[in-house]
Amino acid sequence: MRNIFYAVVLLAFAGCSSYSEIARWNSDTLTNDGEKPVATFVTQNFSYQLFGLIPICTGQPWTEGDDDIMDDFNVRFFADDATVDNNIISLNHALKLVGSRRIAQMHTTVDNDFFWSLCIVNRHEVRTQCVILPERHQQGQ
Amino acid sequence: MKTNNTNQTGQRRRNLLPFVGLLAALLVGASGCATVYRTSQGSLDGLDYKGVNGSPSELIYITATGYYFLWTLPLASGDLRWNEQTKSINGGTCFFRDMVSAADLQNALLKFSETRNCDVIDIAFHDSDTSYAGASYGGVIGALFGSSQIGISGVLVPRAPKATEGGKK
Repeated sequence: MRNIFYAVVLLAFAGCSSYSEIARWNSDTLTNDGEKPVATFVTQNFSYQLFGLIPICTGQPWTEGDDDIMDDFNVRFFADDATVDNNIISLNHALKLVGSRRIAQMHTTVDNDFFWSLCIVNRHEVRTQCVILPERHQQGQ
Repeated sequence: MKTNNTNQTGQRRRNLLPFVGLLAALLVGASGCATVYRTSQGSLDGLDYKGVNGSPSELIYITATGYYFLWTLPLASGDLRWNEQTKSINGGTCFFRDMVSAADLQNALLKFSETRNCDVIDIAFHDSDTSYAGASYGGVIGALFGSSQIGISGVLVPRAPKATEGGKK
């Protein structure tokens, strides 16, 4: 029992973070709508909840830094920041870095996984992705 | 003698583990197998979405999970119930019925968008299956159970106001 408890705590600390990345489109290849994107963007944020109800710890949205990737260990305890709204906050930061607010093909998914911990702790994951296109006035440049 | 007692206590605790798991699983089931995740009002303001006049109004993800015995007998599943008062979807649970299908999720998304006078773009389905073989000692009991989760994602776009006859106001 004690080993399971340690495993749960270690996994929660190791995996409970957020990850965001801007993948620049370094190619002349066009997408299905005949445009060359600036980049694609993906963000995922995790939280862990006791019995799916009581928040234990969570990763946080991407709001600072100039790199194209955010994979920091930025955990908050007794909170749940893994929401679609917070992924939009991360997206807004990415759009600021890329210099365009024009996007397409936005999708989001939410996964809940209880069974890695014998149904005791829920691992809640929210992912959002989209394609970032050049601003209208930048098209054709 | 002391070592014997410690061993017995450890054994008792190990025997209790499946019951703790079962209790937790019941809590999970009772807390709902169908959920609607949405962005809040105004969080997409300022985005220039391709093919959309103005900004989209909401990003929405609806998911439902079904739990099965031997992958055929439904034990519990998500139930998307339309709430006429709030004009929204309530996620619930129904037992011994399988309410998890792409058609149910799609219908829920379409009803939701129509009520808000919105069109839906960039629809995507997401599904995953889980076997619980790893959730029991030796994997035998857990292997009898499985779950299937389907989700649908869409972006809601407010409909342009319809022009009056002849395009005149």
